[in-house]
Amino acid sequence: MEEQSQIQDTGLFGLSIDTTGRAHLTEAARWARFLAIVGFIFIALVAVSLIAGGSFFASMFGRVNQYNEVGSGLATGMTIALIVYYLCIALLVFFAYLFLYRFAVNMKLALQGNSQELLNRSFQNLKILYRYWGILTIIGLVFFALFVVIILLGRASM
Amino acid sequence: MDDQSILELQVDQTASKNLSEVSRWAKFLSITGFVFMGCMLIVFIAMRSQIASTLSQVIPGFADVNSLGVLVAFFIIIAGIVFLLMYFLFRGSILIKKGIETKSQDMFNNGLASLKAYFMMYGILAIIALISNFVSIF
Repeated sequence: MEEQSQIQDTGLFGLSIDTTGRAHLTEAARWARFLAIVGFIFIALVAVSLIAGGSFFASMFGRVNQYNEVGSGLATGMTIALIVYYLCIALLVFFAYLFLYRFAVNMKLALQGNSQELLNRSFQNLKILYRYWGILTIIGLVFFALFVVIILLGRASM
Repeated sequence: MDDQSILELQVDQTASKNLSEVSRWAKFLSITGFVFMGCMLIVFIAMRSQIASTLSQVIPGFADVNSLGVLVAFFIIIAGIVFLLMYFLFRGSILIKKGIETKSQDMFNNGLASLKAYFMMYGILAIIALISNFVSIF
């Protein structure tokens, strides 16, 4: 009962999704859904071409290394490592698009059915999306800083 | 209007907590984007003659007619697009956060408008990228 009166309080004096906000969010959700679907298709194409192209790259490396028997096993290993590396990146990006898709779909349903629960779930996915990108960016920046430090140390030692 | 606001969807405690965190991360991402863009610009200006000479070796005939001008124009267009994207994200994050803190519906709506503009611009860029990819296939 108390919770209910609190919700009504925030309704009367707090922020709400009015007609203007509704229009903006509808449009945002539409574009976000489109982006997510394009992203899914792109990732699927990349994954398929990586797996299908893997054997091609392996045979290419094999041909290059046919006179070098020691190196051929190494080259195949490198190819597999590269493919796994790119598949991992594809998986990382896939999760970002999944959160974007969930934001868009929940927002659309929330606005259509006036559902507070779906609206909150949609905003929660938007939060996860930005937090995810933020953490990935921080990791990228750390790697970049390490790279710069290694290069500077290498120059200093020369 | 008051009657309707009871029936409308509310930005309740859960939603405002989530949106505050969205705006915090979005602000961080947009500022990182601005700094990255600035660094790229500095590197480009500092190394423009080297970039032009390298490209002229790869692309024959690049060295003649105003090729550096074309390169600069291309870079400015890309920088402008990225700047605009980051600006929408930054503006959206600031306005949504301020709107929640001061309970200002106007500010909050303007923040949502910026978020919409951000997604819309991203979508249009994706369409352009798709079309250019199709054109290059055929």
